[in-house]
Amino acid sequence: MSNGDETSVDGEETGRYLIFFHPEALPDTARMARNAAGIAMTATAEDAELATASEEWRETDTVVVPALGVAIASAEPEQVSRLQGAGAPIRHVRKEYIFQIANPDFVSVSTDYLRGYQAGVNALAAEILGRTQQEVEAEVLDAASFRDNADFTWGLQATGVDRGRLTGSGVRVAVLDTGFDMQHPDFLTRGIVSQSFITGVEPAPTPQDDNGHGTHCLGTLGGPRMPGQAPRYGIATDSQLFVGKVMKSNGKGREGDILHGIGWALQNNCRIVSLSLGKPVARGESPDTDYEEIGAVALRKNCLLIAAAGNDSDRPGSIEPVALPANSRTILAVGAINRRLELYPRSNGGLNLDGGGIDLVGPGVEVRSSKRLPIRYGNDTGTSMATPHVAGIAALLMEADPGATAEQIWTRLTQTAKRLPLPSSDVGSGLVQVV
Amino acid sequence: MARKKIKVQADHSYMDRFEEVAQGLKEAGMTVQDEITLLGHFRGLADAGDIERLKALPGVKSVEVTGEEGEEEQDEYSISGED
Repeated sequence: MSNGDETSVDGEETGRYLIFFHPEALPDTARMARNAAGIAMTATAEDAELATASEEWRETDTVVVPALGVAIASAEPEQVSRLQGAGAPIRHVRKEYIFQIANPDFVSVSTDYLRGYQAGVNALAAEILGRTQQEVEAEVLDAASFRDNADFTWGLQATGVDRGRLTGSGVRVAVLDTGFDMQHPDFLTRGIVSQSFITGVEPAPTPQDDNGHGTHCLGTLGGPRMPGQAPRYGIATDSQLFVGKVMKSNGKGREGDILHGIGWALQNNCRIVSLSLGKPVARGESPDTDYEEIGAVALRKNCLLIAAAGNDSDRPGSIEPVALPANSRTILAVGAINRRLELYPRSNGGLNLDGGGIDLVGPGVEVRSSKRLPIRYGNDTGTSMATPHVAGIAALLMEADPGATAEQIWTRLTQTAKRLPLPSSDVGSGLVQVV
Repeated sequence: MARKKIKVQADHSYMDRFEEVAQGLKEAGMTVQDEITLLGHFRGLADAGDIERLKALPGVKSVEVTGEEGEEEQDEYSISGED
């Protein structure tokens, strides 16, 4: 019997029993227990909290919790046998176990152990609630996940942007993509600098977004603090935005056009270039020399190139290597996670040994941002969406420490990332954070 | 015989002298059609017999043959949003 002092209880069992009733028997649990086994349950409570506080419960050591369909009682072995054989109203009888607060030994146990522990708790909850374990697990996962609220998208919450005051003011950032919808009402006063680098198309395209991808990516990186329609989705709200159109309306592009865009961004003293694009590479393929050098040139010019890892995987069966140019060691590679902080199944992984690793992950599944008119707002998914999260946060860090070099900002991003219980080959240093 | 389409990347340690690298490429027989001098990246044409010489020039990190003269550059890159 417990004396109310949890630290003095020895062993794993309390000596009492949990009696699980069928829902239809709930109104009359005490009578049924008495009839079935001669157990006196003089104390009842409307819910577990009340029962815990009940002095009567402390005296009699019995309690009925109608809301859960559970009775807890001291019983002799023969009474337990009679209860177990009582049939219909009683679903199940088992010993009551002692649960302990975490101690240093507990927190050092393996991830597998914790997963097993969690599964056990879920099984117990399922038993008590009369539901399947899968239903309980789904609810637990949902409760533990981020979601868009009235003020912020889930991605801004998961990365800590919602708790910060930095705006990216004074930082020039470039998004090289399919262009941008210059008529979007959230950006009309923003003074965006834009240029198209598309070749081989007549007539030559303007920077106006004719696909939608670029508008979404730039929205995450630099959308306004107060958008026309909540929630806020932009990170570096006061950054100076440069839009280079290097990808065509079909979402495809040429290397030469992309490189011209990078050169243009450097010429304009952009501190960050966000590249939500790539080209798949083969397993074992070495990083491209050109991008290794170009990333190094950018770093020496105090500019950080940030690129999407690519969406070529199909987990768990197939994991593909980080795409070009993100696989270059001088370019920061970004994978994607969902709002439960699980890996996006299509996010590429760090398979190739000489470079080609993931540096960070960002929110990349069901990400709300700006959309081309007339849609205005909507969700997209991919490492493309994770990349501008990292780029936007890099802009915030550059605002906070204007004297820091691009390499120092890279280091800071990885050092302050939120560690995730996932392989570093998939998530690098973890989830990017504003610290 | 058709000339080769090539792309040349300069070593970043030469980033203050990328124009010199470009000049050296031209003097060694490369027809530079597209210069992104800020990045040390040059595209153009060269005879197959000149390629080894181009590779040996100071400041040249790599020379890659990308096709034959007259071939159109392909759209090899894609946006990384979900299809």
